[in-house]
Amino acid sequence: MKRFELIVGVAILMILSTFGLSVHAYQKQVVRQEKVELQKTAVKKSLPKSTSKDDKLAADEANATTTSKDSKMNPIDWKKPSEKKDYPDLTKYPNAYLKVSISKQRVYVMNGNKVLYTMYASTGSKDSPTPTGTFQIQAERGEFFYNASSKEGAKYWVSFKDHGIYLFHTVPTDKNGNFIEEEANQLGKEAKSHGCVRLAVPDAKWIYDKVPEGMKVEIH
Amino acid sequence: MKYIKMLQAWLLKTRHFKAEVLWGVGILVGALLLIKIVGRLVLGTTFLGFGTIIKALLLYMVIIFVIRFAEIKLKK
Repeated sequence: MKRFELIVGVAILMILSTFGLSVHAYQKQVVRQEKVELQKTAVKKSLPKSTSKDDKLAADEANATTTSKDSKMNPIDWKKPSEKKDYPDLTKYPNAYLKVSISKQRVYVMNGNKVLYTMYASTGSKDSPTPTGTFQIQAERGEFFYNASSKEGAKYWVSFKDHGIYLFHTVPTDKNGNFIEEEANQLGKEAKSHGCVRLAVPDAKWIYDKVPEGMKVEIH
Repeated sequence: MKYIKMLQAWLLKTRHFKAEVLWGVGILVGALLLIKIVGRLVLGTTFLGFGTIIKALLLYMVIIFVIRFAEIKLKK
């Protein structure tokens, strides 16, 4: 191959790779903007308050009410609460906080060093990891969102970083609000989200209903 | 076929290394600026920044000079 052919070839390769990278960056920017729009349109609601709007969700919630005094974990089921015992009453624990373990794919409701409740979770994948550090529950929360570019939505979302960007929410749904079983079955096993923390439906609903703005969130 | 032959003849023409690099840089910067302008017109936002074009150009220059260096070493 002649040197000039190589030089022109490398130039063409550079053009294509720069174009590809720009497309990728643009797509990421669009996803981010959509989430910011979602945050802007989110209704700031007062706590505690709970409503169920569609039948499917109501059925999921009916499953969620099955609790007992046994403190053992339920087998992983995104339709059921992660533990068999009742959710903690946060009014009794004013210093409670949420601790997310990325390595264990769990969310712990903590009071000091004591674990009050353990939830199965699915955090961000390698490509879009969940940010680590200490954050706070933010004012933005809502019952449903749908992101057209990732073709995924979720119910019962609560923001903990960047005001509507990083959220706790249910396992993902399609645009009609139907849960995507294939993704939902990875709960507690594999980090597959786009940076948010996915939870079982009743767990996400409990966070949406009961966890107040300003609660500390630790992610390791 | 006629145009392919013309292109081949143009590619095989003997040039000085400096002229070859200038052609390469011209193609690269020209195409990226074209993508930048079309991106801006179609999307209405910055699709490709000047920073990205400069970075691509620098990387290209590094690759070209590595190739040249290797060529000189191999000739020796």
